[in-house]
Amino acid sequence: MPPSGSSPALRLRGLSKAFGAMWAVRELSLEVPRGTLYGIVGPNGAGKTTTLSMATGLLRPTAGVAEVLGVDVWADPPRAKALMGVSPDGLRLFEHLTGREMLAYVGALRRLDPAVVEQRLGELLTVLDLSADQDVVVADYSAGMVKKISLAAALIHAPALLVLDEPFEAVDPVSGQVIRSILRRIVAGGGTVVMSSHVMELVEGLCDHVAVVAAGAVLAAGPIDEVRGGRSMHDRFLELVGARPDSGEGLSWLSAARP
Amino acid sequence: MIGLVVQLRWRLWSRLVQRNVGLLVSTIIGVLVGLGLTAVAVSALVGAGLAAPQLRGAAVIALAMLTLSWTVLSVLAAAADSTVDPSRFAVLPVRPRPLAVGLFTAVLTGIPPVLLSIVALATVVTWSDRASSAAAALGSAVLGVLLTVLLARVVVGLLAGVMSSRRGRAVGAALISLVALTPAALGLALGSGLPATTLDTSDLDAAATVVGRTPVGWPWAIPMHVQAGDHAAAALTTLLTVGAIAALWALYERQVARALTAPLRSVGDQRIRGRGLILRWAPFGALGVIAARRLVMWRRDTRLVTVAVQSLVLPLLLVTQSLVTGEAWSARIALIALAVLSGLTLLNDLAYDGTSWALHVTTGVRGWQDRLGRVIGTALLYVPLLAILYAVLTGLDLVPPDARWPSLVIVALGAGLGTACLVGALMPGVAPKPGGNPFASTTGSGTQGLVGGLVAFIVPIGCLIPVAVAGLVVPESAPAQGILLVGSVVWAATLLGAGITLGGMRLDARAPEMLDRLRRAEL
Repeated sequence: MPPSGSSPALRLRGLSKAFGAMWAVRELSLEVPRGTLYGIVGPNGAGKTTTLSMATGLLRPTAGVAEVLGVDVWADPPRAKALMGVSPDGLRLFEHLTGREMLAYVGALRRLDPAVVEQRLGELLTVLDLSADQDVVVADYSAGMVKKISLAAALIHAPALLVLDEPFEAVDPVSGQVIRSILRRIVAGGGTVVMSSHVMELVEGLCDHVAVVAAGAVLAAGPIDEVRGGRSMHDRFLELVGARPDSGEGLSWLSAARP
Repeated sequence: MIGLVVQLRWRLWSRLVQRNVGLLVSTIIGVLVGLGLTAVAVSALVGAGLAAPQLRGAAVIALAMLTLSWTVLSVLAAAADSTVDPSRFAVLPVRPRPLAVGLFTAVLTGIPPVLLSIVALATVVTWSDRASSAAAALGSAVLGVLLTVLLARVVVGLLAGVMSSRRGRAVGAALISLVALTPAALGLALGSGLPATTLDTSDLDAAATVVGRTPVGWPWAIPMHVQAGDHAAAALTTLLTVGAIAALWALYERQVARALTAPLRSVGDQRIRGRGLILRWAPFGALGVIAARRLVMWRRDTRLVTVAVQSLVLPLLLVTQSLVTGEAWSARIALIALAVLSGLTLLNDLAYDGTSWALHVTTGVRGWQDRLGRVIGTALLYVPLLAILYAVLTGLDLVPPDARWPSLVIVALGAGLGTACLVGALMPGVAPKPGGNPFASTTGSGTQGLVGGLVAFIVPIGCLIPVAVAGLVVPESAPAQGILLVGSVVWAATLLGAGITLGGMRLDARAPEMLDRLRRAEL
C-alpha cells in the first residue's frame, strides 16, 4: 500500500539525460498529484519515453531526482518499483510465454498470493478480451494484443501509480474504450495514472491533467483546462511546440495534373 | 539497377562498420586470414600446374569440397551476405529479375566471393599445359564461382523459408547441428584409421573423376576432361553445370520475387495445452517462475534448443571416440566437459532475453533471484543428464567408481554455473535475434562473445585444479574419499554461491545500464 503523507504520486526534479553530447531530456521538473489521470504529450523525439524510463527505474538519469509517492526511485529502486505498475513502449515481452503465463509470471515476481493472481488474471484476460488467446504465446499476438497484455501485467498488483508509455498505440477502438474505463476506475479509486501519447484528442477526452513536453523540457503543465486556456488541446499544442504552417510553397507538383 | 544495388550494398556496409568497431576488427582479421588461405591455395594450384601435373586431380577434389563447404559454412555461420535485404524493395516498383541480378552482383562483389574468384582463376595455370584445357579452365572458373555462390544463396534462402515457422526452426536447428557434426565425425573416422589413407596418384585421378560426377564437382572437372581429350565428357559436364546454374538461378529469382510480394513474417498460432510449468510453479514465487521459465524455454525457444544441442556435441563426440578406440580418457573428459558446458549455456542468457528482461527490472526482481532461478532451471535439466552419463560410463568401466570423478563433476558444474552467473551479469553476451536463424549471431558482437566464452571456460577449469590435485594425493580409503566428496561439494557450493551473489549484486547496481546494452543490441 502506498505510504501515507502528502507527497505527490510522481515528482520529477531537474531530471536530465545526456546521450553523448546530446541532451534528450534537460532539467525536467514535473509534479503529478495523487488521484489524477496525467497525460504527457509531445512531438516525436520530445523525450517522453526517456522521461518515463527515468521515472520508472529503466534508465539512469544523468542528473535529477525521481520520486514515487515520496520514495526516491534511484535511491531505493525495489521499494519504488513495488508502488508502480509500468507498461513500457518499444521493449519486448517474454514472447515465448502465453498471455496467461505472462500474468502469472509477473504476479509471482511481485510476490502476490497465487490465489489472488489466479483470480485477477482471469478477470483481466476477460475484460481485455484476451481470454480466447490466453494459451497462445505472446510471439503470435498482434501489436494491439501485446499492448493489452503489457497493460494487464502492469495492473495485476493494483499499483498506486500506473505509468503507461503510449498505451493506446495499435489498440482497436473497442479495447481502447475498455482501457479508458479501466484507467478512469483506477483514478476514481484514488490511484494515479501517468500516460504518454501524441494523440491530442485522446488526451483531451481522457486526462484531467496534462504536460506538454518538447525538446526534453516541459513547455506547459497543469490541469488540462488551464493548459488549454479555452482553446482545443490540438491548437494549444501546436502553438506551444511552434507549428510550422504549410505555406503552400513548394510541393506544387503534388497538385499538378496526373496522367 | 545493378550499379545502384552494388553501391547500396557497400554504403550500408560501410555505415555498419563505422558504427561498430568490433565488426571492423573481425572483418580485418577475416580478410587477412582469407588472403593467407587464398595465397596458399593459389600457390598450390599454380605449383600443381607447373611442377606436379600428377597432383592436378587434387585440384578438382579440393575445389569441389570448397563449393560444398561454401554452402555448409553459409548455413552454419549465417555468413551469407545479407547486407541488402530484398524485402526492403517491396514498396518500390521493381521487377524481380533486374533486382535479382543486382543483388547477386552485389553479393559477388563481397570479399569472400572475390577471394574465391582469385582461387578459381588460378586453375588456369593448373591446366596450362594445353591451350584448350587452359581456356576450359577459364570458363570453368566462371561457372564454378557462379555455382558456388548461387548454391549457397539458394540453400540459405530455402532454409530461411523452412525456419520461418517455429516447428520448422526446431527441425532446421536439429538438422544443422547434425551437419555441423559431420566434419568432426569425419575427423574421428580418419583419426581412428577406419578407411585406408594410403594415397597414390592413380587413386587421386580416380577420385577426381568420381568427384567430377557430383554436382559440386561438375564445373571444376571440365578442364580435366578437356586435358584428357575426353571432349564428350567435357561437353556433357559443361551442359550439366550450365543447367544447374540455370535451375538455381530460377529458384533464386523466385526467392527474390517472394521477398518482394510477401515481405512480412508469417504469424503463427502456437497454443500451449494444459497447465504449463510456469503456472504450476507460480506458488514458489519469483525463484519458482524464473526457474520454470528457464526450463520451458529449453523446449519453446529454438535458439536455446540449439544451445542445448551444441552443449552435447563435444561430450558425445568424446564418448564415441572412447567407445571406438577403447581408451577411457576421452569419456572421462566428456563427463567434465558436459558439466562445464552446461554452466556455459547460461552465459548468454540476458542476450537471449533481450529487452524483455525489462520485466525483471520494472518488477524489482533482485539480482540474486534472477541468477539463482536460472541456475535452478539449468541444473534441473543437466544434473539428471550428468547422472545418467556418469552411470553409463561407470557401467562401461570407462570411469572408475570412486569419489574422484563425482567430485570433479560437481565442482565443474558449480564452477561453470557460477562463472556464467557472474560473467553473464557483467556482459550480456551474444544471441541470435528471436525468430531468426538460431545459428545467426548478431553482427559484430563476436569479440565480446569470444572473451566471455573464454573466461567462462578457463575459470571453471582452474577451479578444478585443487580437486584434481586432492584426488591424486587422497588415499583410496572410504573415509578419505568421503572427505574428498564433501570437500568438493562445499567448494562447488562456494563457487556457485559467489557467482550468484556477485552477479546478482552487479545486476542490482547496473540493471539500467545492462538494459541499455540489450536495447542497443536489438537495433
